[in-house]
Amino acid sequence: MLYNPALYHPAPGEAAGVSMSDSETRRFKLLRIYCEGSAIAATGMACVVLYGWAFRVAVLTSVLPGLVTMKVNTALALGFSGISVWLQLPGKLSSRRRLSAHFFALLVVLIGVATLAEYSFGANLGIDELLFGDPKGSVGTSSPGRPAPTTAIAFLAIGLALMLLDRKTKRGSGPAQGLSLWAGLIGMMAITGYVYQATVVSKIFLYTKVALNTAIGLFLVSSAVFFARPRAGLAGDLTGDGAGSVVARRFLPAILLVPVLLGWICLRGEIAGMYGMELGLGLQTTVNIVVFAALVWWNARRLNKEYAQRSQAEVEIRELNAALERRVAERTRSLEMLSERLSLATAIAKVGVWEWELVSKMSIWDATMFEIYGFAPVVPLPYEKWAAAVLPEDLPAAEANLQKSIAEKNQGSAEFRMILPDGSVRNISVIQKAILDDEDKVIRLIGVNMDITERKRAEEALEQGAKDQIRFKDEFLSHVSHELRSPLTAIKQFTTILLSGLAGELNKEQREYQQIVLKNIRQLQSMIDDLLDVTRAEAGKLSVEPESTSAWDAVTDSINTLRVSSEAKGVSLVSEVPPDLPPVHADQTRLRQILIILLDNAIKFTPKGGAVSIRARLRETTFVVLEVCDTGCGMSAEASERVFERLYQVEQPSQASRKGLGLGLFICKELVTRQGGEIWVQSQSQAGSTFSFTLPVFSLNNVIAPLLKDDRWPAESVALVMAEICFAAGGSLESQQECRHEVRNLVQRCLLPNLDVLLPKMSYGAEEERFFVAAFADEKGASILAKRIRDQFDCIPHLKRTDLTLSVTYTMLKPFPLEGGSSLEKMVTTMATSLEESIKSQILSEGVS
Amino acid sequence: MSNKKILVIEDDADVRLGYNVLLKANHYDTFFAADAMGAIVEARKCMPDVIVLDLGLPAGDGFVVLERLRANMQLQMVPVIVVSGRDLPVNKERVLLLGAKAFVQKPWNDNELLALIGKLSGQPDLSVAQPK
Repeated sequence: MLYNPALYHPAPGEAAGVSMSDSETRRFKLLRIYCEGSAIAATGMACVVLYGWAFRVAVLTSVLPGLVTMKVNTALALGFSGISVWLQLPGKLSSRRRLSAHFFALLVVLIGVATLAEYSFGANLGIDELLFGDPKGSVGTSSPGRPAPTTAIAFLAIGLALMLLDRKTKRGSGPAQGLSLWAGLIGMMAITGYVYQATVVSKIFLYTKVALNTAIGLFLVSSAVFFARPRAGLAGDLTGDGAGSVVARRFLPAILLVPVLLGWICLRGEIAGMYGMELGLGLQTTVNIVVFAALVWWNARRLNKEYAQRSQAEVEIRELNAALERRVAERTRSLEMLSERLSLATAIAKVGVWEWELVSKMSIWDATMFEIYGFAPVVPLPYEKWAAAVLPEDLPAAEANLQKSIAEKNQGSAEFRMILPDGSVRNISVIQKAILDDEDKVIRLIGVNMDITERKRAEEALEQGAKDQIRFKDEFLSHVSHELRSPLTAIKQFTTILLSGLAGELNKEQREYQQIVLKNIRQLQSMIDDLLDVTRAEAGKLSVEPESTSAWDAVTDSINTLRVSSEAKGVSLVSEVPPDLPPVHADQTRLRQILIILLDNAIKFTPKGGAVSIRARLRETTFVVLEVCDTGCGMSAEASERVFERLYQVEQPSQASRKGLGLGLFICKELVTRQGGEIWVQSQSQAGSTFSFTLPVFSLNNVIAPLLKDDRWPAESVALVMAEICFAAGGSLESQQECRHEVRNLVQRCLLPNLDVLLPKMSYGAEEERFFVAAFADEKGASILAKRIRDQFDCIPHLKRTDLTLSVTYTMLKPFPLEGGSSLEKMVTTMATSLEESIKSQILSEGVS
Repeated sequence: MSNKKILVIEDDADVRLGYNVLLKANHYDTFFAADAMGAIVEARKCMPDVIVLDLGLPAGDGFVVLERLRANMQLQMVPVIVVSGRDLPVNKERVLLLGAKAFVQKPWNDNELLALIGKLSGQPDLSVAQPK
């Protein structure tokens, strides 16, 4: 026999894996109440009987006076059985409860066995009247106080059943229910006997008769045992939801009650002498047949009705199912079409689709992906395999893109290069999206890859083409303007020769005409220069060498250059620039070029009798603003905006003068911008124009800032090296200028790039002959630099030949007061201030000595 | 005192003629070469006091001529003025590095050129003809 608790004690609400219907739940609840009630009732009956025995209340031991009494042991057995059943009812079964239940069951079995043994061997074991005596000659009692043998058999069966309640035979039926049926049959038989008052039945056994209350008790207990496990075995056949169980439930009460009742009525009739036994039997049989036939019909009808309902429901369900299946099929088909269309689209567009599982680090690729990467299809594909295909220098960026998407839980895109197995490199564009789970965590990335190599190549080719075109244009312009210069040279040469009278004296008219030729040659020449400057500006090669420059000098020079042409036109040309303007950080030549272009324009557009003036002012101590004002025709707002554009020309039909190339202001703007300034115009039609531009005020900061960029600060000390030249009395000014220039170049040659810087000319006085170098060097380094300059000087013979002397000295700058975490800007300022102080003190001490 | 000798290396015949007129008028003896090869040959022959060199020449450019002059023992001390229509910033640096004394942008100003030639040849300023 096997014991399987799970099978016999299903958890509430769960019946051997089948969910229970409502009616079934109610049924089991009722059955439980019935079992519990029966067990308690049986126990109660036993107690009442025992009470009767104990206090000699005869009527309590038998139901009616004169009937057979329930014996003490029977009462005990009944009581124990009741307790045992109650303990073993499903629901709160524990091993302790089971143990005590089995104990009581064992007592029941012992009582049964002992009683039977007494009957079998005719011996009195002295257990019958162990508690209370049974008066001699009690009704229907063969041996005083001894339970009836049938009762003993019944209790033996019940006791065994209680002990084997949860056992099962190999064939699957529980012995407990069979045993309880036996006990129930015995009880039933006794009750029937009482109903018919059939002494004959009782007299089959010569022994003690079964008491009425015993019979009822037996019936109760055995039925409780039978239904204690309502789902198992025979009980299950009655309690289930199936049609068989339903029928059984409908018939069983009738089968139990109808024959007994009919028999009793017939018997009563016979005894009353209303009819003979034969007729009575006939009547009984007929009524039995009628009742059961009616019952069968009623049942059949109900079952048929239910069956019809059920088959109707089944048909409906089947139809519903079919409809559902149809819809699923339709949906599946449309989804398949959709996915087919999508995969067709991705295949044609060569878009590879991938999915990357974050936990497993595995990817699932579609066929296009494998095609793009040239891999044999593997599913799932390890992440490392992809990473190995990416060009190593592109991998960090490509991975960063994926990680960014994961971190930010959004979409992202990138481009990278990968290497095909055959070694060729392809450009891949990737777009991916993070997929979140219910807890808002990224579980995977889904994305696409596209091979954009062709596009990339086309783009590059286009870019290269554009570059080539620009280069070609630049080269072309440069070449053309160069070639234009050659014939211009010859023209100018001979014009000059004619004008100088080398080919014979010219008369006044001839001379005048030749002057016109020369003027036009100059114009052509400046146009060619402009053209070249523009070409250089576009190539970023416009050379600008800023130094400390006097704006006043440049303005004065420019005005002197243009005085002739302004006077010729009858336009006054005035400078209102104060001489005490601080020096600007600008290229002297380029500054003159700017001013000349602006002044030339102003004169060109100003009518006779007008005025052109230059003003200057400071803006926030860091910029000098130079303004060229005229009283000319001015220009429209639109023209003001576009005047700095290349090739832009103001429409001036009334103006007779030639237009020029329209490059001057463009070059101005380029030059000003390159020198760190800005340029703009304010103008009103017929009310003159004012062109303004700014130049940074010279400061040492700008010069030394590049040196400090390499994080050199403050590891090294700084030295100030001064080279001073001294001319002997006499010698032309021009040759002195030449010498200065040469020495300056010489000093420049001795410097180490990025470590030393030759400071530009600064307005500290007498600096034409002094050259200052800021050097990142210690004392030893500074002395080496000084020696190098001297040696270089000695190597140049023609400098030595002149009466030129050179002295080189150096001083170490005081250590700078440093604060931790100073910004670069602050360091530059600190160093500049320190350098400036040092230079001033040098000059001052010179002056004193 | 004999006139100073100027060698002009220039491929344009018109420009050569212009030089000739200008320099002769300023009391210089002129010699000419039209290409790089001829330049060295002519220089050896005449041993000039100053060489005026155009950069764009057939059969090797002005840079080649400069290098050859520097390599020649007799000629290396002769001052060279480079006169060119080529871009100033790039070429000036290069010719000065190769030993030229000056770079003059075409078309030049006669006064400036004459002053330069005069200074380098050591001839006193005798200019008689100047445009007014």
